[in-house]
Amino acid sequence: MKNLFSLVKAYTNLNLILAGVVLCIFIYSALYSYKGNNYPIHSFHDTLTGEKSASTGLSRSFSAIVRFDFTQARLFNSYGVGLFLFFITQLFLRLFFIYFATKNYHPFKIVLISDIVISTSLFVVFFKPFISEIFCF
Amino acid sequence: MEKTNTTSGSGLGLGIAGLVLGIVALPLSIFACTSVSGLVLAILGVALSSVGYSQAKKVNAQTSVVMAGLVISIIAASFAMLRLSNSLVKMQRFPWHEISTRIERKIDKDTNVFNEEFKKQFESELGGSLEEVLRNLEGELEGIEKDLDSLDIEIKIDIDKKNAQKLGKAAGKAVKIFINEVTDTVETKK
Repeated sequence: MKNLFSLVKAYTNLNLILAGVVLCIFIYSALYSYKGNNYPIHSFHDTLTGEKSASTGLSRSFSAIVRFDFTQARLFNSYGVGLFLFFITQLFLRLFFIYFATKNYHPFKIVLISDIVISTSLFVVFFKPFISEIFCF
Repeated sequence: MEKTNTTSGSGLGLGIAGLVLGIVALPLSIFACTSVSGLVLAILGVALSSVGYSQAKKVNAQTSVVMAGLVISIIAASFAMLRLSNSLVKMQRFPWHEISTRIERKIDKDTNVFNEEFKKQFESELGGSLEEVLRNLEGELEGIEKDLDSLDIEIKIDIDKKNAQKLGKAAGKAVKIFINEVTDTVETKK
């Protein structure tokens, strides 16, 4: 029983940290403007090869979404809106699963498995173009 | 029978840290722009999870969270390395020779600009075309050469320490006079 308790506690902590990471992404997008283009992280791939990649313009796209400029966001990166949706979904999923894990409505194992299945499926769906780009030598 | 120590949370903290780093590193390593940061975080995740795993194993504690962190960090590190090798392969295909040709062309262009400006300034200073001045100079030099040939003088110089000193002084004076002459000419032109 104590083992289950420590696992639920670890799971809750982990979800809280991940929710914090997602919030950091939103804050980063809000802090830096796509108009000023003053992002501290520069594209490693673009600098090295001079080529555009699937993730080029993603930061600018996220900044535009945070400012509700969806047309501009699509222009910066066509996958930007989908990825932003993934991060929003993850934020709500983390809070949702914290609630279910602590309330004991369902066995913890079911909560854990459903989290793994949903998160992995969403990850594969939204990151498909980026994953396939990795293997395109 | 092996007994699992359920009360000890040894290695769990490190395991959670490793898992978080692995999860954060996974999307970062997939994006081309942030693959280096992804690799760094993934390596940190692998290191923390490994330490956590060894600690958990020592006290026979739960290793599921630590194991998950280790696996996700290793996946993230492999993605980042694949992505980096992809970028490096593309960098080799990058047309460096085209860039060097462009630089050479630019240098040539700049040299031409310098030559044209020099010619223009030279002609305005001397009041004639550069070719004409060069032709005249060549003619004058040929004339001097002919005059020197017609002079049948044998010059004998006995070089000793005293003569060498005199020659040196005379050469220095001649150069100074020549420089003064040139300066005067340029100033008069102005």
